[in-house]
Amino acid sequence: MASCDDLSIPNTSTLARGVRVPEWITVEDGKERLNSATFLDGITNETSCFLLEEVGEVAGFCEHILPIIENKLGRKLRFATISVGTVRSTGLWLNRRPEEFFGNSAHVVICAPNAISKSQYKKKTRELAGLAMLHP
Amino acid sequence: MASLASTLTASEVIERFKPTRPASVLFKSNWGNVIRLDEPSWRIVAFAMIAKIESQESRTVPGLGSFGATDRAGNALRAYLLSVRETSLPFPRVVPVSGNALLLVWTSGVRSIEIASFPDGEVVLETIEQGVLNEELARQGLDEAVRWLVRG
Repeated sequence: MASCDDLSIPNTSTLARGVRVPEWITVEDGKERLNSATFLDGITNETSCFLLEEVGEVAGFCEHILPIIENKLGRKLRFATISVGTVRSTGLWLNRRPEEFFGNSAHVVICAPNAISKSQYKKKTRELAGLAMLHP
Repeated sequence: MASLASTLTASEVIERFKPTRPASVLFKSNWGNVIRLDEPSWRIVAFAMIAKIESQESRTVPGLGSFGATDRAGNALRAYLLSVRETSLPFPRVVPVSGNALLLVWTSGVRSIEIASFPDGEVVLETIEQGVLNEELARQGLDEAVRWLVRG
């Protein structure tokens, strides 16, 4: 688990997160929205994301990163984006974890402070899901 | 999945979501596969979805998470759902969550209920209306939340 926020990751950066379909999308009144499963983790309170500016923006993410994840999962994914500043505004942190994705330094995790309860953590992931943009 | 669930009968859903892994794994609970015949259809569907996810091999997908619910997560969610007295409810969806957890999502119009079940057996309930959390309602418990969900 992370012990601090990596402030070398600027608030202006944008994160991309793979989205399992249809599981992580809820249709409410005919409109799609992400459910909190997108940013939730049951054990480590950490969810993998990628810094778009370090992978060639959306085009680079779709061309080089997403296919790797899809290949490992064996299914197509969609993806969502959210700014680092927005993540921090919910009280969650960012940490780099290149070792968890083939040494790629653009791989980061959104993580919760150690003292947080599951109820608080769930609430924050729900907030993130509401603030993130789901891409087609 | 929601539209799929709403167009199938309970027995068709059970067939579609029945476990794919052979029942040869020792120490794996089969409790999730046992369903009373007089259970409400929404609960039969939910239990079948939980059993389906439990039956999948746990695996880690780099860049996405680790999937495959633990017995404790599945059992805790089933026990929580058994506390609901309402019988006529929409079919919920149960989805895998990274970290071997489960999320049940119940939607009706602009209202939804999310129940996260963690690998240690802890369960967290949230009620959401048009994207806004209603924490007071969630504190009143699941039975009250499902009544709110279908009250219109």
